[in-house]
Amino acid sequence: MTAIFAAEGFWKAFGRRDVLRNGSVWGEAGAVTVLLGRNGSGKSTLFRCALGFVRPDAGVVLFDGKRSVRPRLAALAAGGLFFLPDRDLLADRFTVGQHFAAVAHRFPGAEVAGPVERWELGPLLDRRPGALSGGEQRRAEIAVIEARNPRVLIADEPFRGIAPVDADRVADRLRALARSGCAVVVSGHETRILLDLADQVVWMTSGATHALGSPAAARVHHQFRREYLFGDRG
Amino acid sequence: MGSLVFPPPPFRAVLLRRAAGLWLLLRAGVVVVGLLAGLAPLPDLIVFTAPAAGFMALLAAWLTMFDARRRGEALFLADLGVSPGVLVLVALAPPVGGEAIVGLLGSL
Repeated sequence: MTAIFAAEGFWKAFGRRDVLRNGSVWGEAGAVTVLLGRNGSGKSTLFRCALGFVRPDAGVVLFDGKRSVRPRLAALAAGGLFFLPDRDLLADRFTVGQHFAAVAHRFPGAEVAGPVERWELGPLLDRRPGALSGGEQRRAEIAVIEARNPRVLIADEPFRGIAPVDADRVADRLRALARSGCAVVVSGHETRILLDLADQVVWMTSGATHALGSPAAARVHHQFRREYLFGDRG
Repeated sequence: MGSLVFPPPPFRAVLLRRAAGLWLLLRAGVVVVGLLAGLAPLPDLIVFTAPAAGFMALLAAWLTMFDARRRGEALFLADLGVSPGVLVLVALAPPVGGEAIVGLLGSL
């Protein structure tokens, strides 16, 4: 398969601290790429650099065959990319329903009814995101993504802070999105669910990424097992 | 690049209202502080020179943008393809319009 989105060779230092040291990640149509790493390993910074929130020291984004050294989320989103931040995608000034209406207004072909029904959001449409539980918020966010039906989804720690039952549902839907042709890139450190979800695994440690291949290959990768899965840094 | 993508109606309306409100607050603040400090007569505190009017409009737009980022609206809109540049345009519209009206009335 060919990557339709790739963030390649990202470097970023904050002061004297190198946060990214040649970090790369990519998404392939119909596949889930999982970016695993401990807290502070640089996963979020890699996404933030690749989407233009943080100016990197080096790095390039390739999307749809176009190359950009100054990527911008809005431009990428116009081409079909969607970014799910680790928290608060939905703005609290607006109701959940208004967010769906905004997606439908911007993308007239967007299918809203299905995701709303699937995630049982009907009773929540008139409520503001801040009035929802963490799990309800995440369900609403995933439903918004499904309504948008992106070509590339970048999700930063989508399983953080939600109950296992909600996490399994989110994983199912991310898998379904990938099956529909979307390139899904997910970060996190929930090893079990992420390795079950992944088609390919990228491990991030100390700002550098390592492509480990399939989950089966990752599980037997000596350094990954020793330093990440079993937490033995000795 | 494609055409400019503007925020969907409820988001656009809130941004316009917020920009107008912030501009009015800034203008009212200038009048109150100016009068209390005896900086200038009232007409001079209302009718600005062009550079001062431009500064007020930019300040109101910047505060509107800052608030939109703080509230997470800018991120959601970026996911819809609305660029920060377009948000600045929207945020500038009410204060620029307001300054134009004040300037026009002041010149009569």
